[in-house]
Amino acid sequence: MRPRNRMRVGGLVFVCSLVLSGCLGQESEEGEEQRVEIFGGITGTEEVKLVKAAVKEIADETGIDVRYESSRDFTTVIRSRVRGGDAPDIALYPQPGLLLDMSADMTALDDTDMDLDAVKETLIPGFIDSASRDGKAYGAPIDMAPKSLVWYPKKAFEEKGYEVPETHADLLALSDQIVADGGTPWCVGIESGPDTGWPATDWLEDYVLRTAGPEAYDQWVAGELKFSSPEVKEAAETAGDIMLKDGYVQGGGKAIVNTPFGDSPKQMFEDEPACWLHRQASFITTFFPEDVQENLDEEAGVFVLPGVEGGFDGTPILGSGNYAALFNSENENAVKVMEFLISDKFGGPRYEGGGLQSPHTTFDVNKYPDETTKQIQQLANEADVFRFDGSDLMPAAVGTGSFWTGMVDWIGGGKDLDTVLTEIDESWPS
Amino acid sequence: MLKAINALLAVLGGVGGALALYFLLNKLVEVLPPRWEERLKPYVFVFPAMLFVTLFLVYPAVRTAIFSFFDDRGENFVGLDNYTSLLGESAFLNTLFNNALWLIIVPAGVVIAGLIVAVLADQLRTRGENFVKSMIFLPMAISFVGASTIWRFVYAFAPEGRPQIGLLNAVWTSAGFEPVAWIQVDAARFNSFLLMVIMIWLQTGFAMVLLSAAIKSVPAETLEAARIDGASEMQIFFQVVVPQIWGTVITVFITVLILTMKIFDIIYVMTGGRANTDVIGNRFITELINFGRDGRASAIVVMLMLAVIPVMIYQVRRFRATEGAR
Repeated sequence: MRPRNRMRVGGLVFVCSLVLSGCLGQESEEGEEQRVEIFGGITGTEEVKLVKAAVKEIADETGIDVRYESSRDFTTVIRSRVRGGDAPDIALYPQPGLLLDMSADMTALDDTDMDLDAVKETLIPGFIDSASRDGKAYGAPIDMAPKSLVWYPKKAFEEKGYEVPETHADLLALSDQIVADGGTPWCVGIESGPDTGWPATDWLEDYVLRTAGPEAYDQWVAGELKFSSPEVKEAAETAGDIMLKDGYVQGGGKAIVNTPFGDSPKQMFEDEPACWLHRQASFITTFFPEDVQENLDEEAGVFVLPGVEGGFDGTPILGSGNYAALFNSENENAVKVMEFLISDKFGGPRYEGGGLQSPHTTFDVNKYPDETTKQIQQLANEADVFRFDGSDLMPAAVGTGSFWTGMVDWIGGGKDLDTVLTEIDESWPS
Repeated sequence: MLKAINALLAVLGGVGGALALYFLLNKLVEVLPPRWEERLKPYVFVFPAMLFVTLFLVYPAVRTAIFSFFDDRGENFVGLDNYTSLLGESAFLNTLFNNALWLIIVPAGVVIAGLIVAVLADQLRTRGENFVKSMIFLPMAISFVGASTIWRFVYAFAPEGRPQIGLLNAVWTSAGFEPVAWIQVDAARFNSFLLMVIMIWLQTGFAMVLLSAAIKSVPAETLEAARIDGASEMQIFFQVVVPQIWGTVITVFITVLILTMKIFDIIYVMTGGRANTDVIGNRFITELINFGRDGRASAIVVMLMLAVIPVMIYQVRRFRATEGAR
C-alpha cells in the first residue's frame, strides 16, 4: 500500500468510528419524552434487585416507562449532573440535608398539581419537615429505617427469664443482671471503613432526644445548641454509662471502635450469646446470620430504646430514610411517578427483603415479610415524635467528619469527652 | 454489549485519530519548501503533546490555584482565608507533620531495604537470586488498596476472649500478651509507622531491581583493587560500591519521595485518617468529596503542588546533567 492510500484508509476508519459511536450513543436517547429517569445511590445486588421490583411496581401502577439508574458515588455525581444541566427527572436522596442543598434546582412539591396534603396526612409526623424550607417541601420520604431500636436474641433471652425494659433504669438494671449472670450485656461496634464512627453518632442523637428532648435536638442539629453545652454533654454521658462502663462491652471502648458494625450483632446469636443487647437501626437484620434471618420472628426480639427519667416525656424515634425530589416537573409523567412514589401505596415489593418500612402510618402492614417488621412499623407509628438522623442534617464537615472522628476518639479512649465536644464545636463551619 | 462496542470504537477512533493527525500534519509540512520543513517539523510533532499537557495539566492546575482563593462552591472570592484557616487548625498541622514523617522515613526505608536485599541476593547463585528477587518484587504487582486490605488483616484486633484473626495479634497473644489495637496506638506516631511499613513493603521490590542492576554494573576491577589494598568488605561496600551507585540511589529515593508525597490509598483504607494518621492526600479527598468544600480542598492541593515542585525541578536538573554527561 502506498503511503497516500494508507493515509486515506486511516482517515476513513477514524471518520467511520466517530460516526458509528455517535450513532450508538444516540440510540439510548430515543423516546425521551414519555420516559422517566430516577437516579439514586441505592446500589449493590440485593438493593438493586429490590429497587428493580419497585420500578416494575411503578411501571405497572402508572403505565409509565421508568428507568432507575444508580451510582455508588451518588453524592458527587448528582452535584455535577445538576450543575452541568443534566439533572434526572427524579432523584432519590439518602438524606435531606444534601437535598435541600440543591433545592434551587428542584420543583417544590407544593408547586405541582399533586395532592400533598393527603401525603402529609399519612406520613409519620416530622418526617417531611426535614426536607422542607420556607414552608415548602422539596422532597418526601419514600422509605424509613427507624434507628432507636434495641435487638436481643429472643430464645436465649426468654430462657434466662430476662424482661424487656420499660425505662432507662430498667435497662441499666437488666444490664447489671446480665453482668451478674456472668454475661456481657452490650454488643457495640462502630467500625465502618472510611465512615467509622457513624453508629456512635446515632447513640448520642438517641440520648439527646431522650434527655434534652426534640426541641433541644432541633437546635443542636441546627448548630444553635453547642456540642459542649450541658444538655448534649449529659446525653453523651448517659450513652457513655452504657457503652463505656466496665464489663458492659467485651473489650471496652478499644473493641468498640475496632468492631465492624455489621459483625457486632452476630455475637448475639452464637451458641452462648457473647452479648445480649444491640442498639441499631431496622436494617441491621440483613447483617444477622442467615439462619437467624430465615427465622427472624423466633430468633430476634426488638424494643424501642427506653426514655430517660427526668428527660423528655414521651417516646422519640430516631430514623433515616430516602427522599425523592422532583427536578423535571415539565415531564408530566415524572410528576405522576413522583406522586405514586411518595404515597402510602408505594413500596410493597421493595420491603419484601425486610429491614425497611414505609414512612406512612397507613401503609398496609400485611405486605411486610415478617412479624418483626410489622412490629417495628407499629413502634414507629406509636412514637410521639420522629426525628431524622441528626448527623445527616449537620454540615458535612461535622456530620460526616468531626462528629464521626470525635466519637471514635472519645470511645477509643484517645481523648476525653470535653476535648472532643469542644473540637466538634470548633469544626462547625461559620 | 453495546457499551463494549462503543468502548472499542472509541479506542480505535482515538488511536486511529492520533495516527491520522500526525500523518496529516507530517504531509502538510512535507509540502513546504525543505528549509521550512526542517524548521517546523519538530514543532509539528511536539505541538499536539504540548496542547494536551496544557489542556489537561496546566489548565486544571491554574484553575485549582484560582479556586483555592474562593469559597466552598467557588463563587465568592475569599482571599487567603482558606490557607489561613487551614494552617490555623491543629488537625491540619498534624496532617502536615505526618506527611513530613512519611517523606523522611519511607523513601529512606525503601532505599535501605532495597539495597540490603540487592546486596544479599547478589551473593546467591543465579537461580536462588532470581527466585528471591521475584518474591520480593511480587508486592509491586498489588495495588495500594489491595495491599492495605491485606495488611488490615495483619493488624486486625479483637478483644480478649474473641478469636484473634489478626496475624500480629495472634503472634502477640500466643506470646502471652493482651491483644493490642495496633492501628489505634498513636503514641509517638506508632500507628503511622505501621502504615509506612506497608508502603516500604510495596516499594522495596522496585528499589531492589534498580539498585541490583547498578551494583552489578560496578566494575569488578575497582572491587579487586580495593581488596588488594586490604579494605574490609564493609569498607568496600560503603567506599567503593555506594559512591558508584549513588546516582541510582538518588533516583530511587526521589521517585519514592514523589510517590510518598501523594500517598492517600493506604491511609484511606486503613484508618481513614483517624487516630492521628491523616495525610495531605486523604485530607484533600475528605474536604472535596465528603465535606464539599472545594476552596479548602484546592488550597490543600496547591500546597502539595508547591511542595512537589522543588523536588521535580531538582530531578529534572539532575536528569539533564546525567544526560549531558553521556
